[in-house]
Amino acid sequence: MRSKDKISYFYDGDVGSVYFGPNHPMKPHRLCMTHHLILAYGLHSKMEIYRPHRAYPIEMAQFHSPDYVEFLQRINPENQNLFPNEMARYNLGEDCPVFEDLFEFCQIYAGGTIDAARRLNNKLCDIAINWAGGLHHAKKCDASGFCYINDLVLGILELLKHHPRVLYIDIDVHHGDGVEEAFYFTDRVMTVSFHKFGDKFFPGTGDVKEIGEREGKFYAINVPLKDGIDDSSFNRLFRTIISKVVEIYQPGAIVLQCGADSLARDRLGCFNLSIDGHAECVKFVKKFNIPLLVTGGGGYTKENVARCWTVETGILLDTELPNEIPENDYIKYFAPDFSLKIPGGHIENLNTKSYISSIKVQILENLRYIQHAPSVQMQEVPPDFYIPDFDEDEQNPDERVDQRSRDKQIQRDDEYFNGDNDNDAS
Amino acid sequence: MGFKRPFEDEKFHELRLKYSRQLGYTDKSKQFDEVSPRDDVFQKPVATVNEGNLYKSQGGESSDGEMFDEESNFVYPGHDIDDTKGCGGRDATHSPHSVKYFELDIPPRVFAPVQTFYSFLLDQPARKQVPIGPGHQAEIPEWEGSQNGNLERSGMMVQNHVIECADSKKWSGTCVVPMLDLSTLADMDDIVGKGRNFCVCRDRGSIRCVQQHIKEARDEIVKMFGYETFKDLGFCDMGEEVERNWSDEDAQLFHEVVYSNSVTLGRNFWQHLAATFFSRTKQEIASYYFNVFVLRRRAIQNRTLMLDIDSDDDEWHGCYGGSSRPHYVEEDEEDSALESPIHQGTEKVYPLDHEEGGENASNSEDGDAFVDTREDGTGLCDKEQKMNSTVEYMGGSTGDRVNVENDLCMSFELAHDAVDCEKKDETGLGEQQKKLKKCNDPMANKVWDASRCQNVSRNGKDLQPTGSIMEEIFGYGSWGNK
Repeated sequence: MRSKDKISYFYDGDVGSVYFGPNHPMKPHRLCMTHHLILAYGLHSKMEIYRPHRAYPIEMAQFHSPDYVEFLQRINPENQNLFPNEMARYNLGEDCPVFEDLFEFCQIYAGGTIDAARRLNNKLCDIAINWAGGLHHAKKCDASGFCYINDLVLGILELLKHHPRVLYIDIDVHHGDGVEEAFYFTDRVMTVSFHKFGDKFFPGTGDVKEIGEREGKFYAINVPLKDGIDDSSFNRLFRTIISKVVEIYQPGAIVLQCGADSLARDRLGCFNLSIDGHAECVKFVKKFNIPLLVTGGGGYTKENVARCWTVETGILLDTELPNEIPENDYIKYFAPDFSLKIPGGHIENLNTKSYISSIKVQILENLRYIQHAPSVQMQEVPPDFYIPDFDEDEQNPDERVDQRSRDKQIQRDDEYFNGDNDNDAS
Repeated sequence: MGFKRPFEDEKFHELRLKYSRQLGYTDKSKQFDEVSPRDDVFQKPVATVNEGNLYKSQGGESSDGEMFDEESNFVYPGHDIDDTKGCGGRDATHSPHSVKYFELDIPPRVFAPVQTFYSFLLDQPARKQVPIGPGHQAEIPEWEGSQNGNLERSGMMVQNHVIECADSKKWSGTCVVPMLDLSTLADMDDIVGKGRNFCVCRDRGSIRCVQQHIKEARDEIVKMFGYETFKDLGFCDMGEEVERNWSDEDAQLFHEVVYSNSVTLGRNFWQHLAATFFSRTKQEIASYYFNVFVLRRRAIQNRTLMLDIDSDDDEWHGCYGGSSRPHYVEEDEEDSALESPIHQGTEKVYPLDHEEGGENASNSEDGDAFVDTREDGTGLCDKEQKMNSTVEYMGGSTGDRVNVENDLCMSFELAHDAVDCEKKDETGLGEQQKKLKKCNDPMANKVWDASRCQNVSRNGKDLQPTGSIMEEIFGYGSWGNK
């Protein structure tokens, strides 16, 4: 382990007063609490603190459709009734309400992740933290699951300017569908998500069989889990899969989404992880000494979110924090013990050993498909059209083609007939 | 429309449902009633449309989102349906049925079941598709092997170039706290990450004591960083400092508006707050709400011995509506002493709860709030459900500790046994509590408390006086005999 990683930490106080609405589970005030707790423990002395720039619409449009970005900029609680069609089209209004300063909120959290990526790219730090980010459900053209702009995709796109391969790891209890979808076709980003799957749990994607398409086939990994997974099962699985992934994929940078709704007793979650179990993942990823971008994500029991991300900040700073929370403005939230520990949950662990084992086997087997290609081939793709990397016509039709090549075969535009059925079309 | 909360049907979910963690299983068969049977998995256009409808209520694509790119003629190699490995087809054959299809290793649910080693994994509703098409995937910059990439290729890259060339400092954040000199880092480990020290105040744990130490901690930071950085770090917008911009009248008005416009009454206090304080920005109002209002409420809650408090429950405040019943109000005072039973961990002393000595009564600002919480109806009503499940364990058992398999009850680690009856008295609880003074046996208290749970859940609106409860439980005229 090298000596003392340099950490850049991003925070903008304006997130604290963002309010989704009464009884909405997403409460950005948890970021304020987290920040405050981190400062109360004095962790600011070991890292640089930055206020991120507010992401510009043009930056958001690096991923999102310009129409969608423009609409987010325009819409507000007063005028939303005038745009029912657009509201529906962009999936706004229910889980993703339109609230005051919505766009500014997006600018802040997206700006933080983009800035973090830039600092990493310029080697100004080894680890960059943006707890306000991690909103992994947002899609190219619509909002989803309390997420409006996908800061992770924007950050990864930024990292891709300087790194051939980026690894994305997601330990939120919900599937990281926005990020996976954005990079479903490419092998330049490997997405690995550990999440609850089944029982119609949001968002519904994330089966183990979702592995990517085209060049991205085998570059999406999904670890679907059932209710109640505990520290030991989760950590064992995490270590096994991630170590294999890093060994095979050799990413230039890692993005780690640390959604805290995978903690026990989360308002919307159903796992049974303790803070130590959750933080163990952060500890493990840090050990690889690869440039690391850490973000927040879900987490709907805000006191536990604050505790968790504070402990994880400490871990990234190689500082173990004592349990007794120091005096701070929000100490009242941490009753009754005012300590970092949270009680365990009592959900039954429905993940049997055999189930976990079968998931693991499937995943490791999928990984073998890229194992023999340690340096991932980068397709030289002219920007305007796609051509396969070999010419079908030149192939000997009698020769058996291996699976990987077959998968890459894309039917050309001028093929009139499917597959091998062409009869010399005129 | 996608819901992060569990979805049962396509209807609009009311806000109240979002707390539900228990995910309702729908009949799998029912689920597929909504999809016309996929006669042929390859009939993608049809299946897709249906799937779009099915999943629209389940977080599917927006109406404009395309499941596949209609314009392109790309053919994605099919996978055998009965693919045994579950990871892609071995012998991908081009389907004779359709040009456009993707991701086909879904077993045809309605028809031939897939007999595979992993079939139990497949025992799920048909997988939601990952949407693909230009409206879904990101455009990946080309990797040229160098840092800046080829900048002339496309418009997108030109834009990137513009962004890159701009003042790099501006585009990667403004430094608020720079990194300290590395040589001092070695000493840092002693100072950084220190926990809370216990103070020597006579009224340790009181609201005054806590406020004093918070102020001291803030002053430390000002000393260390200077006031400018202190402001930059956001401290001026955190904590009860925020109330400096609010007059006493405004503060009082704030409380009244929130109390009288609860969501359960079909009102939105947020809108009323905005209307009442029209001269203030929403940010100021939200800031006051979280930094002063909720914090003060927490301060009260922390000292009422209720241990299953949910600080995110925007409903948890004072008297309003028809839920307050005279009976209930009185009983409430005992209920507040309720300790959700039985957490089998170490019993930790509740550190800050009982040093007040009438603190709350004397603190006029909190006084009203304090009174209000005593009369809370809704909060406890909600907790009835939780109590219910704990009841089964407690029925009949007098001394045994029971691990209660109900996590909903316990938001925080519980400290119950150590609660001293006398302290309860000091917190100004009702008559019935005073009677408890005589009960020094912690076990008896615990049992009694649990039985109070039972009573609350059973009777709901019609609670019996304590005496008869005790008799009921202990079965003899033992009330006060312990």
